[in-house]
Amino acid sequence: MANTQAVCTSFKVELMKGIHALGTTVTRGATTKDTIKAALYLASASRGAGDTVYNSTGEVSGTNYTAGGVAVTNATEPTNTGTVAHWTPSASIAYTNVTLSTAFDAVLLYNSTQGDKAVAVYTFGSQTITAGTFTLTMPTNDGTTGLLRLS
Amino acid sequence: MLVQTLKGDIDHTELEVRERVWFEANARNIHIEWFHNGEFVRSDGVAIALKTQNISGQQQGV
Repeated sequence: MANTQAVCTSFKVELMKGIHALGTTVTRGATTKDTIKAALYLASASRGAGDTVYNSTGEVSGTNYTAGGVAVTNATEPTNTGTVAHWTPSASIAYTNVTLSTAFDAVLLYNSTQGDKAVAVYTFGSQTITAGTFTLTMPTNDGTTGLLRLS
Repeated sequence: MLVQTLKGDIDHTELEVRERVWFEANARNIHIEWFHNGEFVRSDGVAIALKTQNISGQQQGV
């Protein structure tokens, strides 16, 4: 037998669940899941890895779009495939009957329960929507394509 | 089936649909434009299989 250096897979999954706190943290008021929201950003915006909280600068605006975006459906617990922990929203993210006339190409996921702290930024093809529905279809929730992965 | 448009609800059989599809590194995008009597009245967009990104968990740093 030999020992193998590794970050334990269970730890990665538990990080996503908020089980471990290696630094000072918040006092959680409940054991329920946090609410994750999704906000859309103009192609001219500058969202990225440096974001720490939701920021309305560069966010889209238009008919039937509410600043801050929409809540993400989260019915599937973080899990792992092999040594990769992953989490993916359990339903597509849809903005219904919106008119967004200025080109947009990014979505920010953020935690509205924890002070709007940023989670991740994802980009897609730049587009506009007129009196229609924009849908972000989620990838397969596995260790290769899951939306949020710790590897 | 009625479709919401800039000109109000219109039966889908009266609408012409034009579709644009384009690909990026990890995303397939579909943009659908609806026309009524040659006039643009609505567009829908779908982004499938979003670009994904790893959040670093380098095992070498253990």
